[in-house]
Amino acid sequence: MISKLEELSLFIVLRGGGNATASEVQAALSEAANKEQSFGSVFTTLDRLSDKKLVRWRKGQPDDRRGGRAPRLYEITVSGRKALDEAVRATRIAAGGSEALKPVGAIP
Amino acid sequence: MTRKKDPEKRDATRKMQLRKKTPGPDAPSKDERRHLVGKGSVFDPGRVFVIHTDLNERAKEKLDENIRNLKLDKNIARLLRTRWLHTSIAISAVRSSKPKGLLIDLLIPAARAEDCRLELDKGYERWVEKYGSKRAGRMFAWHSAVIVVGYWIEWARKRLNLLKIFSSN
Repeated sequence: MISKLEELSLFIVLRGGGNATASEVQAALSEAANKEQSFGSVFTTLDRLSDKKLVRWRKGQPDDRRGGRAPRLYEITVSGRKALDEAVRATRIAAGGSEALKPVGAIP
Repeated sequence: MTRKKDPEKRDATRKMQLRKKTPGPDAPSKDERRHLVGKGSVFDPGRVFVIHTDLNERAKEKLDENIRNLKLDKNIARLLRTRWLHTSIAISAVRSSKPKGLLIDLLIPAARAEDCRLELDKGYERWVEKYGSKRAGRMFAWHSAVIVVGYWIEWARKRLNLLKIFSSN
């Protein structure tokens, strides 16, 4: 079972289509949480996902503007996709039907 | 009687000035440069000017060419050159004030530190647009500290897990 932060990170990496960087993941997580997510937790989460072989990374093109340094580009693996499907399914089962998934204002 | 300067001679003089790393005759005064760089900057305005001149020599040539093609009035051309110079100095000063990330370089292994710095730099650029340079600088320092602490906690956690595996065997 993966944590919520790992699940969200996997979603963002999946959305990146194989070219997601850590700063993009951080920006998307910050937007989702409506507060700045720490880079430390993003790096740790991506490292853990990489250790579990749920994502893999490769070096991108070096950028002259950034001193010729190449960013790490993250891509979701097949096991990562399976883990994500499992997490989404678990959330649906735990919610126990459509009632709990409705926004708070919508429940009478 | 006014003495006209030969353009080739002027260019040669300009190149020589650049080589000597001294501001040319069109450079803004010391007070002007200090004003452009802004308060609280630790960078020497003269040095910023020299860096800017080196980097933007090609852009300056393009500007001169455009001024020549449009056959602008001498005073307007001078005004344009000064405005361009001031803007590019201000941009150079802002770019130079980017945090160094020394904490990460010192406390994290080099290969990892490089990745962290690269991503933090991107984050810093986003924060500058969103919150301004002062708050972005504070956030850069805070996130650097969290990265260092997080890295070593994770390192210790991995070693502890290994110890547990060995002790259970």
